[in-house]
Amino acid sequence: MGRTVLIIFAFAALIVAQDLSSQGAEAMRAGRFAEAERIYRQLIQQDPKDPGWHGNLGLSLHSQNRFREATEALERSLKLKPSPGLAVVLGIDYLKLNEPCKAIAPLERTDRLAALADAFYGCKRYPEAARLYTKLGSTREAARSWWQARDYQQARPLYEKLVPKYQADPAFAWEFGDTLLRMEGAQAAIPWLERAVSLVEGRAALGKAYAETGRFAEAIPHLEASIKLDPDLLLPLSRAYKATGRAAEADRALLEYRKRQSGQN
Amino acid sequence: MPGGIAIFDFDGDGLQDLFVPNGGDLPSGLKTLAAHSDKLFRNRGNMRFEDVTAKSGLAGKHYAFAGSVADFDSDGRPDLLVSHLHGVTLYRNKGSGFFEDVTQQAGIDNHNRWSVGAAWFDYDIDGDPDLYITNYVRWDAKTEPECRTAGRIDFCHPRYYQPQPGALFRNDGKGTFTDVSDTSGIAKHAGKGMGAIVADFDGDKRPDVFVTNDKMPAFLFHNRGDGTFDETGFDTGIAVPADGKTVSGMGADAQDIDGDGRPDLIYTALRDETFPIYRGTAQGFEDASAATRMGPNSRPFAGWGVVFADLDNDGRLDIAAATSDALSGKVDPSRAGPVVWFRNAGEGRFDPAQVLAAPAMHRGLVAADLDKDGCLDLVVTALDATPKILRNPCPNPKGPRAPRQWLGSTAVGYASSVWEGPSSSSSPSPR
Repeated sequence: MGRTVLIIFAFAALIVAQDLSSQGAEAMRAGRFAEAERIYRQLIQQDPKDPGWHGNLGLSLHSQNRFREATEALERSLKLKPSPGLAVVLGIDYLKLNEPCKAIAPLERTDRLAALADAFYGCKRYPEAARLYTKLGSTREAARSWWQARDYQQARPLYEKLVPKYQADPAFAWEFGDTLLRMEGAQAAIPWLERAVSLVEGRAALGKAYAETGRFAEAIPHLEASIKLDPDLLLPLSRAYKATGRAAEADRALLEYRKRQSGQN
Repeated sequence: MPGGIAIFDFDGDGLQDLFVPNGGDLPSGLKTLAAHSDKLFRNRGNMRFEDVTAKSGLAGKHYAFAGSVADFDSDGRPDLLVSHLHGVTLYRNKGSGFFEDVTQQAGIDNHNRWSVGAAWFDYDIDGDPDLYITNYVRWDAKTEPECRTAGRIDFCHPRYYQPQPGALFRNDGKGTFTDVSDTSGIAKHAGKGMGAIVADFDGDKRPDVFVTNDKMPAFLFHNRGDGTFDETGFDTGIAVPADGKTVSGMGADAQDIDGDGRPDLIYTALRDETFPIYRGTAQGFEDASAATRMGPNSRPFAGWGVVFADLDNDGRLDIAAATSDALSGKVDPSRAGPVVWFRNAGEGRFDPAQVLAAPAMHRGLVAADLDKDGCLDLVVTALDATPKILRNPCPNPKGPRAPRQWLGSTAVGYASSVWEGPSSSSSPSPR
């Protein structure tokens, strides 16, 4: 008798779950994501070990742009059962949350290589990003990744290939100029850095390049404009002041530089 | 092998012998296995070396980083100072291949500070060698932080550790020393010391000391001649490279590369920091990284031991360096680097790097004519590997030669254990 009652209850619960599941699916299809969320939470209460309910809850939260909660639900689902589809959503949500390092593991289980490359880049794993961008034919991104990785030998030929397309782009001019500054020296870099003066980073690099070639008077305005970005430039600025006969300013800049240095250690 | 190799003729037979420091257990910093032993190799001639450590008494007790040689007691036999995680040990050469630990009786106490190198020099010009000790950071295994780069465990940046000053000991001439770190002014300057090089940098006939610091401005201790030193790194333009970026200064060397009678200077640093090179001038130092091409040439490398040495006998000093990236916990093959040679092309420029030895976790490097053929050979150490000798083929010992293949490396025959501490020639490194 007791056994029969249990079977009836279980059967009834199954019917209720199936009913709720259909309602949840219907709500998702209709774009009623808050309703779908409520339904899947109910289903999870009934059966917390079902990966599907957690996954669907994650999708409903993702659709409401509630990415933090979505990642929690999706992580729970993927722990119970792997799913490439949900892994993609999880990876994308981590990217949206600006947590690229966490996006890597789920995206590595999928075929979304572009997103994975972005995750590597965002996580500062630049060589892996560069290789993947190269595989995807994204030369501009690959060049930037090698440059970020400070592997200028790899970056340079890619930048050279991109010159016809990007020569008017100040960001490109800065990256390429900086690459040349490090690989070849200031003479080769200056023409490119001069095209990047609209960027404060470009001005900083140009100031350094001018100072390196002894063009101190030309270096000064660029170095002065870049001190906020890079206070280390106080040292070449001091040198430039000194070389142009501005001894008092040179001493002040050097003093400020040394003060900052001693504060850092 | 961590690597601050010492080359000296300990037995007076006219051949250069090798002392190679070795690591130990961490976090204790002690040698707990036979494989942790420091090593003394006797040069038997014809590039054959014999391990004579057991007899010598130089096996050591502490995680060691470098050896430095001087005849401190003026008995005609070269003695040895070993820098290690818990300070320094001074060994007196008793002759017949025996060394005796005389640290305490000589009055040398580095107060358990982590020393990575030392330089012997007669700062008071009284005829006997005094001792400068390079100390790295304060390190305590109990408070060691866990550091990550791009989400992965990596070595900790030096900013996580407190700097400490070097030490100066005056040789009293009776086999004992007096700690003059405070009175000389040396102790006023806390750094993260790595390499130390001695030269008369300002031409006043008194030896000065240049010290590289890890991610801190370098020190140049100017010898005032009255027993005190001024730190003049910034005043002389050598504290940091011309772009104002502090670098992870490692090994260093000073020689007159341009023949103007003033010592010039190079030190190694990490990848993308370049190996800064300076010309000595009447007004101080001038960053010559761009003019010599050493900036671009060295940028892809992280360097440790470095020497100016005329490897091709053309009368010009070349540069050789042991390279590999800093360590992240365990030896990682992806961080290995080659031994490189930057040939002096004349007219103040150096050629791009030529590889003399395949990548390994290289750290220490010294140059010496081990086989007495008139050409300089190189000895290099690498973490988790046996030390290697790169024998210069030396087809024409008396004149210039074209660049050529170096002979294959000769392992200095013994198995090493797991080595986790790196170092450089003049001074090793903890990373």
